[in-house]
Amino acid sequence: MTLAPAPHVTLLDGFCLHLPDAADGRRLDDLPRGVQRLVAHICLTGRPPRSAIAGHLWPDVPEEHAHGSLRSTLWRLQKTVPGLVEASAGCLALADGVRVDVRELDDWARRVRDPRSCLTEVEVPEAGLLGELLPGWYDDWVLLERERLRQLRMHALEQVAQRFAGAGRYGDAVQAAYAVVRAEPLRESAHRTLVSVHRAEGNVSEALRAYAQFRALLADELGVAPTGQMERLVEGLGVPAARRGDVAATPR
Amino acid sequence: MSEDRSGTLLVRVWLEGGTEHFRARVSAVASDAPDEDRTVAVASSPREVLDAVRGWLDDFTGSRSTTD
Repeated sequence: MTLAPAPHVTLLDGFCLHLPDAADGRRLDDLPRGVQRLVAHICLTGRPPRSAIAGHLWPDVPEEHAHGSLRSTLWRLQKTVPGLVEASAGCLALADGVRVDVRELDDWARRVRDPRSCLTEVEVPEAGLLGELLPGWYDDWVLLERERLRQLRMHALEQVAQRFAGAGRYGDAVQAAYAVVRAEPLRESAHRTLVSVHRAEGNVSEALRAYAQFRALLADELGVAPTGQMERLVEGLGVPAARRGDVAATPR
Repeated sequence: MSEDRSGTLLVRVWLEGGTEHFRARVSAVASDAPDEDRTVAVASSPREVLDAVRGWLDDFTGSRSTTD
């Protein structure tokens, strides 16, 4: 039996709703903002009670007004995309089978953390390399989730880079490490991962170059030197001892 | 036209190399430029973070001294 293609909601890099079962496989990224916020909130919170949704989405108005706004927005959603959300008296939830990129990211990170998962189960999904959650949205419930996902993704990418390197998939490992470096250029653990992947592949010059670039960045941005962990990683690779640790002694 | 009088400042902190190396990135989320956080400061000590936050608040409220 073949399952019908399910709607797919993407929240990373911006809101979009893909409806593969429509005749034109349409893509909805121009839903009214209120409808987008309702769908996004349900995607991020699972099966929230109506009262919680109303409070989060309309925090600055009286409760009765917020509930009225929720009913109105839900009506517009059901009219525009019937069947996406299941509404009961007490709560709202996505219909069975609806896919959400954030949930896929969560599932992937869980597999990465699980030492029993095999390499094919931790391939980096598209969601692992996309941008931030709902950029330009300032609601507290978005900001907190954005930071959680950002940390989740960085840790998972570092772990998966190490696993790829251990399996000899150095190219994939380097790409995963660079994705973390792009997310936070000052994050040393990402640079250490990159250096260690180059070392594992036997590319001493690449390892030294990655080290030197990070060291220069730290000196330029913070006026400090890499930590001892990074220095130990490049020991024996030909970095002059005089060069290591001399930044901290330089007046800023 | 109404002027937006709200702001969001995001302080990300972490430790490198165990616990001895403090790092921080202070970013402003501006409603008039929503696509990307704007880095206000990067810091290697809590005091630098406090200075950056104080400077941002002074700018926001318009109370920064002209001699700064």
